[in-house]
Amino acid sequence: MATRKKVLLKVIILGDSGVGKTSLMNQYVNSKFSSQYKATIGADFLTKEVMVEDRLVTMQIWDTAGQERFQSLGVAFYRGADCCVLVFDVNLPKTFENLDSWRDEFLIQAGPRDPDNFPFVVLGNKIDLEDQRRISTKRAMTWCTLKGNIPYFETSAKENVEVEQAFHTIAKNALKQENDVDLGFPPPSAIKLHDPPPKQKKGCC
Amino acid sequence: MDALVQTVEDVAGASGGESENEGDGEDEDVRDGGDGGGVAAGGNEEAEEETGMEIEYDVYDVSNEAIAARRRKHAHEEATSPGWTQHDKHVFILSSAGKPIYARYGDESRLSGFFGVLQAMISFVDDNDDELQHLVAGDVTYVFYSNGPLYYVCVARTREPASHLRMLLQYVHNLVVSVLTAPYIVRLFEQRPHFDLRRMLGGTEPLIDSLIELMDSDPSYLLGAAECLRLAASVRAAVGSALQEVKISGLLYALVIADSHLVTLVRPKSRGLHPIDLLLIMNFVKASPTLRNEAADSWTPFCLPHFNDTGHLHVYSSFLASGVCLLLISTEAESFHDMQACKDRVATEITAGGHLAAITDAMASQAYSVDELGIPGLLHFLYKSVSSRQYTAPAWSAPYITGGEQRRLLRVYQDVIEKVHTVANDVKIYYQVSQSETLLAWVTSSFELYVVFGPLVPKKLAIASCNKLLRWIKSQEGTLFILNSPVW
Repeated sequence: MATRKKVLLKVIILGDSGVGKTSLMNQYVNSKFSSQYKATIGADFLTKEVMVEDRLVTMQIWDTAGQERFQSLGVAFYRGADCCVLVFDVNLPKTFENLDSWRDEFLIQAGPRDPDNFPFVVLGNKIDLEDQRRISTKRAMTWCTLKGNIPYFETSAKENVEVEQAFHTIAKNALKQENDVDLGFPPPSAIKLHDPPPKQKKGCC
Repeated sequence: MDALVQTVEDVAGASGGESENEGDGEDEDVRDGGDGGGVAAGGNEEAEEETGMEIEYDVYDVSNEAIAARRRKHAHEEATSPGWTQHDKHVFILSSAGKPIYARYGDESRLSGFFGVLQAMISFVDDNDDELQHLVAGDVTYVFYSNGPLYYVCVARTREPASHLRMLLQYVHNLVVSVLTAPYIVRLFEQRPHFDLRRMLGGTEPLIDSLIELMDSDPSYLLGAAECLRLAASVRAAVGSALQEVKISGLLYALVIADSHLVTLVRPKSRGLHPIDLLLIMNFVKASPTLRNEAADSWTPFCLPHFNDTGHLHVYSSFLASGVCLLLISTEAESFHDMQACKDRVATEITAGGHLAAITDAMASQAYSVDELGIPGLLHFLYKSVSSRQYTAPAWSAPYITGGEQRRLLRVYQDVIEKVHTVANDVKIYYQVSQSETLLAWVTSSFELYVVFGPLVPKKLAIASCNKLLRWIKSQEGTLFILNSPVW
């Protein structure tokens, strides 16, 4: 543990099932893509170390189940997240429309101290299927601007488009939040002998 | 839960592998409740003829250097490293957000995925208003303990009962509290659930390593009692009064320890020092990197969780001779120089009286062997004085020469102590014969005695020998125990 410059960031990926959360993560962490769909049950966890502005940052990535029937981890899951990544499929309007409820759900469950400035990042995935596209860049950008200038990336986990850049921004923004180190209250003080009744037990000797 | 199960199996899956030569676990027994004879928590375990591990050990080395070397050796391991799943006893600390805080083996950052799995397991059960206590996968036992925003997990293939591994985790929690205090930990995470506690615990790692290690080798933790230096009663009394004389404002406890043995302790009349607090202090003296250089005096904020877990006291420590440490525990943060002055007075007085020399002599020769007692067939014993929470035990001797044999015997003790303290049993005398030894436990309201004989000693002889042993202890009482702890 020693005095370290190491930082660990908890990053949560949310979005409808099938939008490519696991694929994005696998592309980013393992540089692998599989077109076979396998539903995430509960959650997957991956670790990735990156350098952000001279700091070694470990990203603890929580890839959640998009399917409702597997969302059994509840509040504990979102607790203490440093960044939340919202993913939709640019070819499926429903997945875009649901971003609102994912974002709300996250803010309710995680209850961050400053919800207006909590770092989100939005990823519009599967841009490789260009001819099927239903959500324009403009529409997505408008939503992101409205929600407090959330950074927006259009990605393809399959062809590794913008994945690296997106996660770099995720790390950078989360780090900004984490950096705000001021604890706001002092470490514990000394005991005033006569104040607190000591939990006296039978002593030694 | 695919991923969860997957990862759990990864760890468990390596079962049946050879364990390497290192600390496999042992017991501890936080006799927490205090009054009425501490009750060992947890379920009873089946009789264990299996305590004999199939592992060969070398002589067990719990020196700081050995621990540090081992940490360096395993520091870069991650979940996929071949050796990582093979360790006998993993200990993890994580926040309730699933962020890693401490891992006994490996780089906790790189294990962050595994920590996530642990958090998911705990919170999955927690969501149903239930508590995950332990689970068994193959020959691996997972034990969980949560306290406020902190989760503690032990993953062991040592076949120890879950209740004992849980005690270990409670000891570790006490250590964390001794650094940060309980309310501070709660507040930190209330205000920022994402907090990375490694930042606040920086430098504490060697203390946690050492504590876990000691629990595998030191009966103190098993008994929840301290061992005194065997020393002439007159010397002990003289040191005690030297300490008593330096009483100044804010000074709560003054003690001298010699290589993790208590020489003497002065305390306020109404406030004993809880043995767990004392063991935390001893671990601190043994393992703190800042005290390694015995030449320096140190001044450390220290919370004694059983004294008061809401604030820090201040511990002044100074070595009077090699291995002999004077500790002055004060409520006043500014009194370092006053404490130094106290130390000078104590040092002068006990040096001039020849008492310091007597202590160092005793350290060299204190350990008595079972042979000294002249009781046929006696191999080892633990005697605990219940009211004073002190114990005595002979030096290890054949057949308990290797660390592995010692640990095996400690585990036999652990098992028997568990049995006699299980409320349902409430036995006074317990007799057990195995291939390697005969053990007789005798528990009364004033003492607990656990005696180990060779396997061929008949019950009648064992009982007669216990009586003889008690007479010997009685005759040596003044040198083995602090009988009248000085107060102020």
